[in-house]
Amino acid sequence: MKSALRVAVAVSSAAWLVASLVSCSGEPKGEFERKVASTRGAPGSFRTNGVSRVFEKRCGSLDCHGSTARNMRIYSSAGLRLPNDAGTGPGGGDTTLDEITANYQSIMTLEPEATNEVTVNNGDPYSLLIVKKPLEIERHKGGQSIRRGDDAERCIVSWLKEDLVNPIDVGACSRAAVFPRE
Amino acid sequence: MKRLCLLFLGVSSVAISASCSDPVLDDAIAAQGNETSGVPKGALHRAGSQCVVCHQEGGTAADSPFTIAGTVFAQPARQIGVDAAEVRMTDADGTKFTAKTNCVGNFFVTASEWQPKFPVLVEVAKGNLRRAMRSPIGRAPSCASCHVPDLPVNDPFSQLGHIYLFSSDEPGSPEGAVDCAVDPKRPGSP
Repeated sequence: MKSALRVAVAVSSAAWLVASLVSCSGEPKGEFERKVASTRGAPGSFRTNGVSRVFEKRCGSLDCHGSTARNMRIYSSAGLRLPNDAGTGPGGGDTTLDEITANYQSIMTLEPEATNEVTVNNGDPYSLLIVKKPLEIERHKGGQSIRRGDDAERCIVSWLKEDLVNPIDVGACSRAAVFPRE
Repeated sequence: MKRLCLLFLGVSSVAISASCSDPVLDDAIAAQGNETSGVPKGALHRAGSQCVVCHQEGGTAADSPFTIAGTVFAQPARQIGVDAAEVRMTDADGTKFTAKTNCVGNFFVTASEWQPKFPVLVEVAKGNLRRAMRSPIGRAPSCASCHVPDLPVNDPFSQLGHIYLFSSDEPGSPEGAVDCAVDPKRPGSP
């Protein structure tokens, strides 16, 4: 009788364990894993390939997006600074890693759903405000800050489409960070 | 009936003129403060102010609009105007214009002289000295929009101090032009 009870307890415990494992697994993870693996608009490329510098140079002056009054804030060594203990202000030192990260978050979260559509679902980069505004495809208070076919456009668009087949245009990013002929 | 019509016309004209005012511009103009006593309105007044707040369409000096204007001071901690400094500007189309400061450090560009396409790169030079801005001017036609004349600057992370050409300890840092019609030192400067 005792052994029968033990078997029953063991079976029910095993069943409970299996049931809880199954119930915690949720939806298949295939889609989620693919999203993580997307290289479009990646933060590493944003920093190392100089995409941040292009935004800093073309958009981040104190009278434009280097202002806390803007939804899309761009921090840079020559413009708006993240508050820091050293008291480094505009024009001092280099753009910090924290500032580059803040720029990335600012750009990515301007239109979260639309940005997801482009970076995860291979949507059209020209549907995003960060491309439409500077090219003045959509009205931009600061006017056309990037011309069609300019290196800055190639840099940003190639970053938003970056994958193994379509690498980011590093040369364009490098050239676009210099304005206009420094 | 005639009186009623006149009353109606009067009320509507007051209402229309009130509705056409720009409260943002009005506030910006008010923020510039009063004229300095003893300094007449003209090229030497309001050194360090946001010139194009008033010198634009709809502003209080709309009859003399500027496309870019500002003030160049001598030192970082003192606001003494630099006379005859060159303000060299290059716009997005690559066109160039050089303005010269007067004895209080003011310079201004009128629409008939140059209509730049922003962004604009700028450097200030006098003699062998040259200072270039690290970032382009995005769209603000008044230098003092970003280069606030307050000493010290209230918010060191989002504001810059006034434009200056010399470092404070640099030999030859001027005390201002002696033959200037007004005091080249900005009121309130140490």
